[in-house]
Amino acid sequence: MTGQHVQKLLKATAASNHLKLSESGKAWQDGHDALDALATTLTRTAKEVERGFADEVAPEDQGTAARGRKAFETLRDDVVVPRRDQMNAAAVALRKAAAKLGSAESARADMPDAPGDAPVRPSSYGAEDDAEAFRAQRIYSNQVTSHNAAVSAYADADEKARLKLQDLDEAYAEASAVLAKIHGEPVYPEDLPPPGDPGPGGLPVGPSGGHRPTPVIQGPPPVSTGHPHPVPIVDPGPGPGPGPGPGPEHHSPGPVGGTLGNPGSGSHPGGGGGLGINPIIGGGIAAGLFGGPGLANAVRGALGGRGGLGSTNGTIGSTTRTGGAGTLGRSGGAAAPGTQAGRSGGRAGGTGGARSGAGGRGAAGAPGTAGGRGRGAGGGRGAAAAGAGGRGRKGRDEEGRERDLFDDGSDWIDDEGAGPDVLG
Amino acid sequence: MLPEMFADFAAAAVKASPHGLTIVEDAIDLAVKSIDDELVNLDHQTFGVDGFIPVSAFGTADRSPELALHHTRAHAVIETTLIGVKKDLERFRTACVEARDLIKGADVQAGDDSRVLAARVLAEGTTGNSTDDYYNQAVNEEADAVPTEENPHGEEVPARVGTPVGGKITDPEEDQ
Repeated sequence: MTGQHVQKLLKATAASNHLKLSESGKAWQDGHDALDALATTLTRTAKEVERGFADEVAPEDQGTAARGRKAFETLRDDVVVPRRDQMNAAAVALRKAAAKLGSAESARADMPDAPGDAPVRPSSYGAEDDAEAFRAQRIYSNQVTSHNAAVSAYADADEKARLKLQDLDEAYAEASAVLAKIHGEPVYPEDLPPPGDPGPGGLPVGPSGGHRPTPVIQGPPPVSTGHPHPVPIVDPGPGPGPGPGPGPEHHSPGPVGGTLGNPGSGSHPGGGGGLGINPIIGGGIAAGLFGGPGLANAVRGALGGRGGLGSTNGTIGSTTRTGGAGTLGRSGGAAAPGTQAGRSGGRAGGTGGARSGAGGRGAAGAPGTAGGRGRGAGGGRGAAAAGAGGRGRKGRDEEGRERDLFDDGSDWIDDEGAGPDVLG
Repeated sequence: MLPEMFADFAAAAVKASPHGLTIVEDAIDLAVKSIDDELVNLDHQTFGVDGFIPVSAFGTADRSPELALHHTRAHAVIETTLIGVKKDLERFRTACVEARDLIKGADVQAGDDSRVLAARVLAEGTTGNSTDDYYNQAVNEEADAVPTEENPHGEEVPARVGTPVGGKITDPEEDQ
């Protein structure tokens, strides 16, 4: 669930004040400094006392002088030093905790607003002429680019927030252990809260964390296949293909054709409206994301090529940020030429997105999108994010269930009917 | 431990030469001065105020409650323990002064009795370990301390040693 860490960080730092921790750390440090000065003085005193007692005393009596020194050292070691070390440990731990908290508070100011709903594709119906449709499409393309950039930024911020929270919890845990030793109360592992990082797409953080921004991948108007599982076209090239290969494509119902991973602001979360991505178009779109020449060209052709609609900034695959490494995965997977579109999108949104960064974690995507649910080759990680990220934290359980679906072949059974129809 | 150590100190004092005792005297003066200086910095009340952290300042991260709890208890324990530390240091300081004076007199009287007395005073002055006593007491009494938003020690409300909330921690001996 993209944005949950942002929301969690905002909530965690809403009333925090790292300066209070710093000030307390200084108080502990002051105590340490005072005791340390005393310890130093006692050490010096002990040596002087020994020297004085040893003056003009026969060598055999040096042991007596040493014991006189020991008296001061005992005071130092039994009374001063233990407290000094405790106060120093607390000061160090609190300073570190304060630094991490301050860092989280600073990051709070950098957190972008959650992207709004994806732009709505203009309808070609009612357009008086092609020019008007062209303009509408261009506006839409710009909106999509802007939206995807916002989604990408939000995904990056979410990852940043996750790391900040993780650092903070680690520093807090360390400080807690130090302070627990001081007050003598043991810290039992079972008493500790779970680690702060529930993992990408982890635990929900409440109502405020539910927004799922999704990038939009432009494409031709939706074409319903009448099949609940739209199947992007399968590239017979490298990678697992249909059949007994390593991974058949599993695609959840897609919301609106041409928008991979777009839940339509929740109005089509499951894509159950019967609309799906045209396999050819969808595949072409995905291929475009990966730089795949084949199907991408087909799409490009449909859109009028480079000079056509959306070519300026909305062409899929040409967008540097949203269509490329940004939203779609910083791992660079998007650059893999010839990567099968369907496979790519699927993998990224699925497991691939898990830790690979913003795209993977699903900034994008929404459940039920074509790219998002697909299971594909790793090469698609980057692009996938665009379509898929949204899967976010559906949880490993669900992922496992999906894998089970692959294993038992039910997907192929489901898709059998659709494939030939589309491809044929 | 301390009494035994200062018994050794007494034995050393008896055998020290006049010049040697002067060295010891100077060293003790240094220790007294350092204690005087640092006792100001070891003020437990100052630490109680400056070291306090409002519970909200920890934020609401996963481990915020854990750290808030441990800091509250550790802070209270050390605040109380500092009373014991100061008592030990003050007792040691007093003994040092008395011992120094007696040692100083020993030069004039040239008698070992003064030295023995000086060492005995010093040893008696360090009998016991208030730090540990206060620490152990605080550990028991602060076990139920909970984080609060307001500094319970901010108000000049006398409370028993180790009271987790409800007032400034004071030394019961001082109250008496």
